[in-house]
Amino acid sequence: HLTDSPLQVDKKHCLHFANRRTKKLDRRALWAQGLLSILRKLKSAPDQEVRILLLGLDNAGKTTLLKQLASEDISHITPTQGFNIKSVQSQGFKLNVWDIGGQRKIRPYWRNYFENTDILIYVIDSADRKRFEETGQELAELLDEEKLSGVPVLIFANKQDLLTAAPASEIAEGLNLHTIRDRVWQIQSCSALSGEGVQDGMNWVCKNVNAKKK
Amino acid sequence: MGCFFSRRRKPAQGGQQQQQQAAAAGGAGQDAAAGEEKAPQYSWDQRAKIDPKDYTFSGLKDETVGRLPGKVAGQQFVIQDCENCSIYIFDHSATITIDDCVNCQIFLGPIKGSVFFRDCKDCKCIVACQQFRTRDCRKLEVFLCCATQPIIESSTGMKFGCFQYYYPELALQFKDAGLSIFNNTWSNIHDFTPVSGESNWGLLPENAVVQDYVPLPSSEELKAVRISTDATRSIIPITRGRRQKSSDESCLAVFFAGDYTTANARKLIDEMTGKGFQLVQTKEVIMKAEDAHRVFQQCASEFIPLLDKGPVVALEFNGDGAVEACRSIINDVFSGTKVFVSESKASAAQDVDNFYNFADMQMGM
Repeated sequence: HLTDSPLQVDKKHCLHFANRRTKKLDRRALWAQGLLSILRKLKSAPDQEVRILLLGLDNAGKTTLLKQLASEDISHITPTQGFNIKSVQSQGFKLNVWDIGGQRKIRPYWRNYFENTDILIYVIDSADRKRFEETGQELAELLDEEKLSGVPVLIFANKQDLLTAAPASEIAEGLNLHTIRDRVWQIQSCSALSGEGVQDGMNWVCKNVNAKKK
Repeated sequence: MGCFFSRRRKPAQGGQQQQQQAAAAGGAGQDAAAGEEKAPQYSWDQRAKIDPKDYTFSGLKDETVGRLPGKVAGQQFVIQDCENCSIYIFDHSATITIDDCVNCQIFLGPIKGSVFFRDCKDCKCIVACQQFRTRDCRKLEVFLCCATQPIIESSTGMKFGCFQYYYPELALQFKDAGLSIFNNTWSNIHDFTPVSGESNWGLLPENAVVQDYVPLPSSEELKAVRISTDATRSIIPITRGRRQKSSDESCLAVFFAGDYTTANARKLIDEMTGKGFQLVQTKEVIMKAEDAHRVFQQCASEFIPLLDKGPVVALEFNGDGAVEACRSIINDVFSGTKVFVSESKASAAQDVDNFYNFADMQMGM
């Protein structure tokens, strides 16, 4: 029943992912996704494109994360003045990742990028305790945004390699993540610099690509 | 994909209606990646317990404090709530934040990542880092070595000069921090909150005496570090950056990767500056064949085989007669070494532009 329009088939799977959360179906869904990807290639149809928005305070490590996802050199990174965008192939998806500058002055521009976001990745500098409240505030405001309503959010507790890094559990508690009810979410500790934990986070992303709650 | 075949998978932490596990689930933010085995072990779960207090200066007043070479060894350092202090970090670190400090004199050895000053006032600093950031600061004066464009936000009265410092251990600390002594963009600051009609930042006077800003440490312990603030001894070559050029004649010289590249580059710098020419900018960057064609043009084929040995070191000089002087020195001192030098005053301007066009793109993000 494959049609020439991959979008139709995706809608079917969309419903599956959103409604049923048992382990069995998760596994079956992944299998189907992989099969779908192979079938797409056989039909020369493109992989499903996923729009990912990468936000967080300035100095959180967003651009380092972006470069890490793209397997590029991360030893020479400039503070982002506008935004960076990269496309990354991963697990049968084409991830279009938008990394937006996080200085206080330019956070009002974040909303220009909300539309059509499939996944929100929010990056936190786990070792910048002075700004936990500020980052919690920004995240809370994002989760209140109409245009990001229901969008799955992955929170990267980044910079775990640093001495004063708070563990993900502490950050989750401080941010009251357990009160999030209107969307699927995940917190993942990582070091964007070394890459540790990044793939684990991205595995969750790929699993929840169609999990936007309407 | 491990997920495919796992039989019992821990439910993903978060937002699942059926599982009501506290969000504070075990230490390192489990994800459902690993299957039925125990939670993934990350390197930070297993690292030796270091006391963050040993890497923090907090709430000090009228004190001279510091860390000797080897005592930070690439860890994160935190400086906060200090007043009238002289602070010296004579080692390389991962990242440093400086919060709520007033009237301090601060030396920060090579920082692998970012240095971030927040809510600081009237501080004089010497800093080497990959990224330089400020927010809500007033009247900071910084002798800076920064690998990327420095940024300021909601800050004013900021002044910048070129990093100028030496002690024996410093050269190796730059290596440990992954910073090239030839990549220093200290003079072009990006301001996220510019004000029309005035500028929040400027350059320090060229003849500024470093020790007038950050004195040599007065404590016995720190005196053990053999410091020199002499311009000719600085680990970071003093560059003019965006300072007004005195002449319209430039010269580009490029050394190729090898055992003596750094020494050769420094030698040329010494010879040229000794003759009164000015070093505008240096860059250490990887060049590919396409770049070589653009920059070296007719001479490209001669240099392309040297490119894959490692990054090149490029030097831009300025001054009347710079090209002739440079070619002459290279002839005398570097006769055995392959070096690119501008052919003429006319071509030099183009050489410099061609080089920066490719180098800036390369080092852009």
